[in-house]
Amino acid sequence: MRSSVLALLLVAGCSAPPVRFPLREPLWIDPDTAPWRPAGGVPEEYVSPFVWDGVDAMAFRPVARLLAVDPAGESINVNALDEVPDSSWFTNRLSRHALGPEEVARGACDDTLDVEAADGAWVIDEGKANGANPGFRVKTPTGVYLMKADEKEQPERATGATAIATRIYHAAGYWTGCDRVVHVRRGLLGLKPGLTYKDNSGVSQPFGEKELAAVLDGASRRGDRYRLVASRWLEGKPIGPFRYEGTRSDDPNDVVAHEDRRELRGQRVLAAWLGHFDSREQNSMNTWLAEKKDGPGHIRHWIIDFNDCFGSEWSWQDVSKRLNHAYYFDGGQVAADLLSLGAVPRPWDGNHRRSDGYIFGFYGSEPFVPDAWKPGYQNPAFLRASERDEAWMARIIARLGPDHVRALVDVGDFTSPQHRDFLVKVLLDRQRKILARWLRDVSPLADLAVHDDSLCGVDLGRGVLGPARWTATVNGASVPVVARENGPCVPIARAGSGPDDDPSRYVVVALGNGIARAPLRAHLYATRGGLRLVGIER
Amino acid sequence: MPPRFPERRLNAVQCILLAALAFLVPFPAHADERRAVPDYDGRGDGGASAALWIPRVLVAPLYLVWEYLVRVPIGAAVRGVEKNGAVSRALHVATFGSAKSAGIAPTFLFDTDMLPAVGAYFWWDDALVDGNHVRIRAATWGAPLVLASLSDRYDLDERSSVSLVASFARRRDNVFYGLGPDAPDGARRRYRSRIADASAGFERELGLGIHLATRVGVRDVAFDERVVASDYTLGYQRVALAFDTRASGLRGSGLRLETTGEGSFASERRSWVTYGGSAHAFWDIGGSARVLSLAGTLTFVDPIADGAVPFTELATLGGYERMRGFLPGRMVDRSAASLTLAYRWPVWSFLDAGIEAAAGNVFGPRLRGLDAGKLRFSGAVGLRTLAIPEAELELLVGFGTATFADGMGLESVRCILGATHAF
Repeated sequence: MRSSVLALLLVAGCSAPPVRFPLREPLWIDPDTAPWRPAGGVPEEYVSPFVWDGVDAMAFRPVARLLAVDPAGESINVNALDEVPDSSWFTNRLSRHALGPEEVARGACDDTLDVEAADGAWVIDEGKANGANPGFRVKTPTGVYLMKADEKEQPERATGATAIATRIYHAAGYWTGCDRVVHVRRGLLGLKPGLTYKDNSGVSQPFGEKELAAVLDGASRRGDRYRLVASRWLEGKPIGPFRYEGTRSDDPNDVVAHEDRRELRGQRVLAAWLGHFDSREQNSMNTWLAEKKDGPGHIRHWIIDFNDCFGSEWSWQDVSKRLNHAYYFDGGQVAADLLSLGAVPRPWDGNHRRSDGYIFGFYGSEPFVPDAWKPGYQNPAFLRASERDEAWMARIIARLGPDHVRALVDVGDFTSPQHRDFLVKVLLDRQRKILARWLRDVSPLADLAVHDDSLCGVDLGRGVLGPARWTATVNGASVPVVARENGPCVPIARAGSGPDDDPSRYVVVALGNGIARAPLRAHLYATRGGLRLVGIER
Repeated sequence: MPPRFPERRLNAVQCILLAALAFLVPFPAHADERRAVPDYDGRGDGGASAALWIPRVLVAPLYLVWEYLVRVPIGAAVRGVEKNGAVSRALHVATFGSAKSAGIAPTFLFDTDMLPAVGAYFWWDDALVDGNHVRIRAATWGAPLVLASLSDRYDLDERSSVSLVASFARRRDNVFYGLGPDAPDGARRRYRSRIADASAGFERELGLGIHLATRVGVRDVAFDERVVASDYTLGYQRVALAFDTRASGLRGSGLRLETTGEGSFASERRSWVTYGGSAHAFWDIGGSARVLSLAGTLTFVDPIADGAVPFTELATLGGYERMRGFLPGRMVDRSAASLTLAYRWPVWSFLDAGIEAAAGNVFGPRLRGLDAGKLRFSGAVGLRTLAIPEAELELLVGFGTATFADGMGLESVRCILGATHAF
């Protein structure tokens, strides 16, 4: 019996024929926000193990993945148009809508923060738990905010990076908080007596005037004002970070293994762009959203804490030079360097701080090889990212033009115009490298739509890749391509008979640009009401 | 109630094997009904490739052992330790709550043919006053080996400092092979010694890469067996001058010149001078911290009054500085010369590898008897940590040979693991 089942499964696995896309609307909303009621009223908090997460990622998980013989296939949550549906993880913003520089620069900030409020109007009610940057929590008339300062060695970098990167992530589609740079006078801050905080050793320490003074003493200054980044408290009840692998066993909505979610895999490209090497689970958060206390609700998944972007440095220069180029510990690289007597050239060999952007440490456009980018330690989802996952994120990034980037960097509110210009240039240079890499092998055509009896698309690779040489076939027969300014159009003759979803009405358009490894294949039905795009394969 | 961790994703074969195991180890049931995975593109689930099933079946036992007998238990243990804050508390205690300016760390040193040592290294920066740095090192291997040192350095300004150092060493594993370049390996004998030293020093960066260090001190040396040598007490005064064209530390290309002079005045009207110098050339290949270096070193010890110089104060090769393929004290005489070609390269942020080849030996007064055939060869390869320069850990494998004239037969094999600079 068992052998029969196995044989059946083997046969089924080996003989899957090509499957047509059905005539239906693409799935644009993943219904993973269905309310449910956890035992105890609120899902259990997940406490991410700081040490184990890193040790496991660098030493144990790679062996486990190897022995699991589970090579990464394509992502699961990809709809018929090769896009990611909206969910509790992701919302299509740039990928489906044209956003102006102002909208992108607004990010998730839909409120105002009055830094000119009366003395004591912002009440500090908690010291910052831990982390690289010192800070505290304040209650303001408009909400609760976590306030963090820069480190003295890199003035304005961490606060600016947080404000900028969170908006880029938001525009890309992730759930993020609202982080913004503020310059506050000391008098604005009231201090609740008897506060404590946990230091990096997990030990409770008092947080009083002396500790507040220490935080502010290290902060960047503008006149008599202190520069801080204000991070709005996330919506819902925090229940700990999400993991980049597996699913939450208690969440009935969480049915796609996180390492196979495209938005988490594709995040690698965004992280590479921004130098977001600390993109690990500790810098994520789940919150429980319920209309009523102990009532049904759902979990939302956020990405938080971007202060490592744009060149955060460690105390050791040798570590800082390798960030974004190597894992904190990479056994293979260590072995290669040891056995080769250091003969293998490494990107960090010539890495140096830039005189015109010294606050950004070793963040620059050289050396930067998008493929070779690495986070601090292995991220399970990043490791499984496929060419298509990365191309998907590259298409989103391609929608940010120089005006967007300038508007985003302006949010960082850097005192020196030199630093602003430096960051704009580096971001654009790195963006160009990313697009040149990930729009190359997978078709860069996007925004495919039917206009009259033609299928038209926007070439996101124009200006980055070489000139496209468009070719097209419709159901295998060559057809002429009409090259427009922003992309090609392919006229399609109506064909078929019978019901709208009759196989005779099925049309496959293969559209090549002469650069990608394979043409984009658009699947349509020539219905009685006109052409309908139902699927895209890249 | 401990937090429940998200489930791990398994492939089909592992699921089948685990289902069988479930009869023995019941899994916690999920209370909630999970929704079905949506058909995202409308074409159904492609399913796993059948070709993967064979390797999965083959390695499933290995997977299960690794996952459930190694990874999961270790993970649970580490998470447990993290959760109850043991690591944080230990760190808090070890750094006295400061996390930066003070701390204590365990040390150890294993060296072939020598007694091992385990101990602790304590540091306290800005001790009591800004710019005052206290260091205490202690190590032991029971009664046969007791090592301790205390230093207090006070920075007068950014370029000058004064320091007081006191140390004590009692060990029964010293080796002595006799004097001269041809001291045979078979002549080795052990002896016991007790050395107490106290000194005061002044250091100053003179600018242009020149560093001046002076020190005055007293040393008391006693041997448990009088047949080895007589006990003695000496006072010494040392001046060292170094010129280095490199901007900092171990990296970069450049030259370094060192010269040292020391006068020692011992009991029984014995006195002598120790002097010498070294020249180093460094080539940082491509500015990538891969440094090739060549160093030549000379050391002389000359009596300036009646009486012999104690052998423990003579010029020596072997140990932790030069000709490291040999044990400390392997070569002893009135003068020493060595030439070392070394290559050091980074293999990790906190780890450098190094390989060195050296030729040298000890000779009579002022290199009397120096001859190329009398040189010995020493080779070593190893790894060295970089995080804390004062307490770096080292793994080194080295070897030393007889003289070239005697055919360079292998005489010494040495393995070191531990903090060589912390003792």
